[in-house]
Amino acid sequence: MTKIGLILFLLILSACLSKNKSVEEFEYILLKELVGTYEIIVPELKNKKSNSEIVGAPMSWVTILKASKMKSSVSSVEYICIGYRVPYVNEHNNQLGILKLHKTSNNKCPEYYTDELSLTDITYLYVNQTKGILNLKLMLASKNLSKNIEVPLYNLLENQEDVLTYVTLDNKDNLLPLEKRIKRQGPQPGEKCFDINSKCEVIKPNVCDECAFGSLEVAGSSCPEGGIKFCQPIFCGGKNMPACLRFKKIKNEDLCYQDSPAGFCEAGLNTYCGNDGYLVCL
Amino acid sequence: MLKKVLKYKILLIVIVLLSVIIFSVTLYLIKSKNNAEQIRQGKDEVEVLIKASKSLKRIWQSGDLDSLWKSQDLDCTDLLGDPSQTKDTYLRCNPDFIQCYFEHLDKIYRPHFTVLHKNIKQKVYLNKFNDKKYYQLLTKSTYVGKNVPHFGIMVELTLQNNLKNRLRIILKDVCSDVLLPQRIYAFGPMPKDHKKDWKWDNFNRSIFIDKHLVSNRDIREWIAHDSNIKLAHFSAESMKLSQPATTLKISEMRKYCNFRGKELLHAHVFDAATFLPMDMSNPRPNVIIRSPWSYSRVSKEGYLYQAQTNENYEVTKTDCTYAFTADCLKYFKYQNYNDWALSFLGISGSLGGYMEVFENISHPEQNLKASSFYFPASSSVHRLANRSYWDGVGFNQNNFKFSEEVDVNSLRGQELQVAFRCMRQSDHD
Repeated sequence: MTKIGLILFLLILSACLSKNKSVEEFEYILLKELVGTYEIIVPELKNKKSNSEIVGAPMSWVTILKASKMKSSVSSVEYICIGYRVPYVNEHNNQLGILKLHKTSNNKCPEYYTDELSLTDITYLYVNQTKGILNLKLMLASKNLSKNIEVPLYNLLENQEDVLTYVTLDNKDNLLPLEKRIKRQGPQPGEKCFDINSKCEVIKPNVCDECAFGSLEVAGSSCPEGGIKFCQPIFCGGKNMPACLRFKKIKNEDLCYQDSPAGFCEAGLNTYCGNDGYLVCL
Repeated sequence: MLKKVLKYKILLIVIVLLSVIIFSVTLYLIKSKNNAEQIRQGKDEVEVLIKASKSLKRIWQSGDLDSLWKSQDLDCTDLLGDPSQTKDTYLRCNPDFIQCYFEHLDKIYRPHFTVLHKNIKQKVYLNKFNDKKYYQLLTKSTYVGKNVPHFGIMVELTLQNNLKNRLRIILKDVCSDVLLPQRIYAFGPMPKDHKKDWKWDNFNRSIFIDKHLVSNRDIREWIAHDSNIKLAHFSAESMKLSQPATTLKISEMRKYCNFRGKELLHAHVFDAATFLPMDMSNPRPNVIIRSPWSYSRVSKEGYLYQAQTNENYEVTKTDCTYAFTADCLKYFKYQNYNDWALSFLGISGSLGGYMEVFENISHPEQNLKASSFYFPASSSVHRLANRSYWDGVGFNQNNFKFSEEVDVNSLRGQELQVAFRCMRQSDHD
């Protein structure tokens, strides 16, 4: 009798202290965390219109969503990963599915989710994203209850025009102004922020979004990815400077040659194909 | 006796255990109930904040919807200047208007939005940064961040009773510029031999052009944001804040455009935005025929043609909305942010108004739109692509070169004003 009572007591106590969330609580956490999401990175979810069940090797973790958002300081990006442990249920095993949410500053979701923010007891999970709403349909085994979780992704284009971006939802006590950039990070003015060779192989990925004063594409490229770009300010058209862009092509066509019309220069200078594969003025 | 004691002991243990269990279950149920209530409340809060953000977006994007400023209900002369000297467009995506609007409300009650959610009215407040401003200016040049716009403001919304959830949002400047349609354009006046025409195109890239000239308010905002900026001649008299900034050197103009993530407008892009395409449906015309007037496809038509061919032509008030020339000064003053001399793209002041300087790489000696209120309608400066030269440094007549047929006698001894606007290029819209 004492033993039974003790077991009951421990069970109830563990239920009280459990980190497992109810569906409603998990839904709320998702809503809060995804308010500022501006990009869905996991490609399968980008345009997943129809419902499809998440499948995989039993007991393995599948990342069902990876999204990025800005931190409240605006200066850095935070990644939200949602992992799903595929259930393993047969006559010998009863390991049900688990959903877990992981936040990281690395652009990488874990292979094995160990986080505390979880929803357990899942028999199956369907995921889709339509009209800017993330939809999770799941079955909870113990309650024999099918549940739909709908999370609006407010920042995605489907949901709004370009004018407004949600940054973050938090509960910090004080509203602190953002700190100005003291040391200039990222590509410097006049530096290449995107580099591509004549075979259209990307040498430096595009980080032009980080240029302080915008960027300038130089002439002579015909790659689908666009031409080489420099951070502004850079004055095109002068002697030994990149030619200004007159037109660009995105189909493979050689535009980098002497007197190419794809670029233009100051009066008295002509376009030449420079060593870096873009037009310069000489 | 021993049995009886044992029985009582067991009974006591059972009672204690049962009490603990009942207590735990009750505690668990209360906790669950509170938790469920908190979750429901939290979700509602998020939805209320999102709804309020849409109202704020409307004010940012549309400006003075209730005409409070024009009717002088808002006293914001220090922030915005004189209402009679400008149009409502000035207030769109204008951080100073946001400050003015909410400061005005603050005198009456704490600024808020009333949101109807689930049939309950809730108040959402706008927080102040450092107890001063309702917004914080955001530009790429001053803040690092993946999604930082080239220009915008950050604001924070909060709920009245429960300060748990605060929503930070960025409002981007979507009002100041227009997208140039992707097509083949020509640069300069039309040559006799169309094979010698200087053409270019903007296929596969997006070019955005400022609709209006950069104002004194814009420049004041720039200086306030960067204490290192020292301008040689600029002074922002509050009454002329909405007027174009006309005392900057060209190097200072370039720096300002850079601050906004832009560059000084190029002459060939201005031509593209002002020459009226003969056939909008064909983006790849072989021959680009163009009229010297931004308002007509026919070159021998319209008021400027009349004024330049008939010396007795009397300029009317309506004419001034097509090109604000010296003849118009007798009717009214020039206003920035108006829709006068609007090009097909929505660029104001395509002819007349203020003189405007451009970046002109291929023909640097033709960097100035001289068509302005300095010259009468009969002057040949009032033709698209008929450009003059400014050295970009001084404002006396010696710093300018106009073509020989232009009568410059009236300019003698005057400090000439030169305005400017910016443009930006992007891979995406």
